[in-house]
Formats: sequence, structure tokens, C-alpha cells
Amino acid sequence: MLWRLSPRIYTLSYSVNSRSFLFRNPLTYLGLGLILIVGLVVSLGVGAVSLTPHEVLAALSGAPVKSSHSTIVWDFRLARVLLVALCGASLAAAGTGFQGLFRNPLADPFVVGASGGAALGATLAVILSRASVLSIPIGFAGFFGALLAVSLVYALAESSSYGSVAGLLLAGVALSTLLAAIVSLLLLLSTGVMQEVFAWSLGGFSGRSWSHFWQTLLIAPIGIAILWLMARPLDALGGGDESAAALGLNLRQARFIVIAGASLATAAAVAAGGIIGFVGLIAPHLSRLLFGAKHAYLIPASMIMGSLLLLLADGLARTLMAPLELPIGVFTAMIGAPFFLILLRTGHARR
Amino acid sequence: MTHIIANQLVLGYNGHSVINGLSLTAEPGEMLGLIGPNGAGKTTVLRALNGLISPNQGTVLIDDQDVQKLSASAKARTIGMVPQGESHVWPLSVEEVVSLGRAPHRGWLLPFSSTDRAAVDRALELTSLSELRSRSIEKLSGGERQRVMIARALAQEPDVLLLDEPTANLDVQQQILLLELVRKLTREGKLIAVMAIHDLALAARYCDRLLLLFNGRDYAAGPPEVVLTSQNMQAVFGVEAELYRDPYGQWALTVQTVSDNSVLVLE
Repeated sequence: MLWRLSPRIYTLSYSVNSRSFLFRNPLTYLGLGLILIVGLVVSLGVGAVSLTPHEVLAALSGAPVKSSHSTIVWDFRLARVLLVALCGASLAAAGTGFQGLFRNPLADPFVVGASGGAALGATLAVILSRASVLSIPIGFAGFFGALLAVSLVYALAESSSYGSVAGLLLAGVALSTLLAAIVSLLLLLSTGVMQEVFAWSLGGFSGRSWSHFWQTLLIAPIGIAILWLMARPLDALGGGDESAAALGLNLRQARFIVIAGASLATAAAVAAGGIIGFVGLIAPHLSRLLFGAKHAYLIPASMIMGSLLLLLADGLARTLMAPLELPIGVFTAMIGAPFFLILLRTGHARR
Repeated sequence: MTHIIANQLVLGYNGHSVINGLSLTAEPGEMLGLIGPNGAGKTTVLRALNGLISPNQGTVLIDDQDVQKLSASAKARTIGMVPQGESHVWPLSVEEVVSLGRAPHRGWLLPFSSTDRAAVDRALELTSLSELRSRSIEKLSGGERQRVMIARALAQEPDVLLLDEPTANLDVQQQILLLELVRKLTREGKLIAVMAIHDLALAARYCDRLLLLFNGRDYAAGPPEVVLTSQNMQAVFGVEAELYRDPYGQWALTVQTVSDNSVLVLE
């Protein structure tokens, strides 16, 4: 399969070996923030011309440095690195939101059809611009494709007889499969499009500049903020729908808001970097092990974790076979999957 | 004082009715047990009392207010619910779960005030969970976890406590401790406790009154000796049973054998 289109609907009971969670200590957050800053600085130094952290900091602080260093850091790398960190954070926040909504640690940002919609949008954009009919940026098309697909899944689920949560998952699976089939058909019928769509769908930040960063910064934080404001309802939903309703939560409204926030964050990341898998699955999972499950803490912790993971994957993507740049999705999966399997084996998530 | 009055309730799902005309009342300080065979509609009645399903006919009045007309948060300030087999999927701490009970008072966004923290502390104290407040709920025993859910309901500072099979899956000591706790909370807090309970012996021992659900209606209601009569047990459960005072002066129930002349086919 070209895209990670099958939403995960397995059930997995969650268990953690935690005596007390690290998040009780504010220093943990300070530490995480510092690690993120270190990650950013290291990322800025990595590339065709490698810079030491000292040189990076000097260039950033505006100290007198070689003008080439200043150009590399400010004009080429900083926008990209910040964008990567922002997308990692968005995907992680969205993954946390969907996992909370579905009470399932195997949900990810694409569980309700965002990837299928994004892929179809991107494919159509490429085909239309090749045919000189209409020129739409591929990221823009992916953004709206993702949002449209999620809206459709939501509308189908709300009118289903399965109840909203099961309905969302079932409609997500069905629509994703349908969209994937349409994309496959379109790719087979149009010549020369496959390569471009395929590369985009695996994700990557090659050639991203400040304008991409500002665009993403305009949208992603809205989704993230919505999710963070839903932290307490997400905690309550962990006890089941009936139990959350008994606390006075309006389930339908809460579900809608979480889906809207998570989908906005996902679509913003998709627009900037394509369909990047695994970050949104593993960052919340890992953060929950370290910081506990209270969403008000979990969401920011996951975001930092997601940023770090994606910075690492991006660093590998642009250095391993430099100057050739590899799709970032390959690395998120190559780092994420073994890691996930280790977690499963060590019994952190059992049954 | 708060009362629950349910009048001629007809309850069901998708046109299929489970309860056909049931009335009940409950007073503060009282434990009312809902008993009956499997599928008799015990959980359905609790859900109607909680306003989670709306009756096809009849009304549930709490403090002379129609439950259906209360806002979600007003309802949650009046009624605390301990759902069946409740377990949070995520490893929240005891205190975090209990704090969720403040949502009907504080809302879902605003930070907690000292009132909220005091209510949470009090709920933890009443359920003897203060020592365990930082523990992950996954590290708790079944009985402790059930207490967490009761504490969460108490943090709502309700007038009514609804419990759905609170003793299911607990060992005998935990069952007794839990029901002792519910009785103490009910008496001292002047709460109305309505409990769906499968175990008739425990129901007889702890409930002030019982409501026997059968064939979609209130087959019998009243103190244990009025409800758990040999005739009712025969008619509803198809067993020979006898209610008696045990050496400690509490109600106990022996069930002899399935009667040979029973012609009832139970669901």
C-alpha cells in the first residue's frame, strides 16, 4: 500500500509500570524543553555543510560570523527545522486527541480518513496542474482533502446506527479504503504522476521555507489549542461514554470539538510535510508512559516528544544519503516501529 | 429534602420496551435496591433515573424537578453515578479521576478553586483513599477501584447516588466493605442511594427497601421481608428460598433448590 490508509481499530488494554509519574516534577518539563532546544540546535547544524552547535548559536545570536553560516542558518535551515518541529508537535497533539477520543492507544492522526482525503487531494492537484487545467499547490490540496474526508466520515458516523465511536472507526476504514482505491485508479490512468504523488505522500520537508512555516503556524496552533482546551473532557472520556455523560459532559459536542481540533492540526502538518506516519501514534504512547495520562500534561509532553522524533527523522532523511534526500515517513516508521515493538515486548502495553 | 419520585415509567430502546409502567420513590438516607432476573431492566431504570435515556412515558422527579428538563451539569450536581465495571483506560492517578467529579461545578476549562480541592479531599477521605491519591488507578485492586468511582461521584456533591452492580467482580470481603461504605455514606450524608444489585443476600442485608423488577414492572416493593417472600422467589426466580435473621441479626437468604413444580421459563 502506498499510504497508511487502514485506521487501527484493534483494542489494546493499556497498562503502565508507574510508581509516580515524572510530570509531578516541574523540572521534568524544563528538562524536556531544554532537550528540544538542543535538538533544534543540533538539527540546524546538520546538512551538506555541517556546523558545530557553537557556530549555530553564534549565527543565531547575530554575533559576527561567516556570512555563509548566517545564510545557511537563517535562510535555509531555521525555517525548515522550526517547521519540522511544529509538524511533529501537531501530529503528536492530534494523535493524543484521537487516542483519547477512541480510548485506544493505537489510534493515530489518520484514523478517521485524513490520509485518504489528503492523498486524493494531492493526486487531483498534481493531475490537474499537469493537464494545465488548474494549478493548486499540492500541500493546499492535501489540507482540504484531509479536512473534507474527515468531515464526511464524521457526518456518516453521526447518522450511523452503530453509535458514534464505532461509527467513526467503521466509516473511517470504509472511506479510507474507498479513497485509496480512487487514488490508485487515478494514478494508473494518468501517466507520469505516480512519482510525484508517491514522494509527497511519504512525507518530507525538502525545500520548505519561511512561507511554509508561517502558513503552518497560522493553522496548527489553533488545532493544538482546541485539543489542549479539551484536556479535561478527554480525561473524562477515558472512563467510557456513559461515565463521562454522568459527569455532565455533552458527548456529541465534545467529540465534534476534539475531531475538529485534531483534524485541523493533522491537516496543517499534512499541508506542510505530506502524510507522515507513526509520529502521531508513538509520541503520545511514549509520553503517557513517562508523564502519565492526564491530558493537560500529556498533550504538551507529546508535542515535545513528537517534535524531537520528527527532527531526528528529518535529520536522518537529509544526511544518510546526502545530497539525495529520503522521504521522512520512511524514517519515522524505521525509528518508530522497532521502538513500538520493544515497548510491546517489555510489557508496558499488555494484553 | 430531596426525594426521587418516578411515575409510571415506560422505558425502552428503539421501540422495544423493557419497562412497562414502573413507579418508585426513594427518600434521603435510604438505600433502595433494584433486584430482578437478568434482563429485567435494572440498568435501564438507573439510566432513566440519571436522565441518560428519556422515558417513553412517565417522569422521573428529583426534588420535584423533571430530570429530563435539567441541564447536563445541573443533573450531574444532583446525581452521582457509579457505572458498572467502570475502568478508565488510561493510567490516571486516583486524585485525577476523583477530580473529574468537580466538572459539574467547575466546568471543563476553569482551574480548580479551593472549594473544588476541598471537595476532592473530602471525597478521598470519606472513601479512605487519601493515602492512595497519587497511585495510578491501574495499580489498584477491584475494591479500591470501585471506591475511586464512588469518590468521583461524591466529588460531584450529589443528593442521589446511583450504583450499578457495585459488588460485581469483588471478593466477599470487598463486597461487604463496599456496601458498608455505601450505607455509611448514605446514612451520614443523607444521600439517596439507588443500587442495581444481583446478589439477593447482599441486597437483603444492606438495602432498606427493595424493588423487584419482573416482566417489565415493579413486581414487588418494600422492605426485604416483604419483597423476598417464598412466593415471590418462586414466581420470579423459580427457586425455593427463605429469608431469615442470621445469628448477627441481619437478613440472610438461603436458596434451596430449583423447584420441581416450577413451570417458569426464565429468560
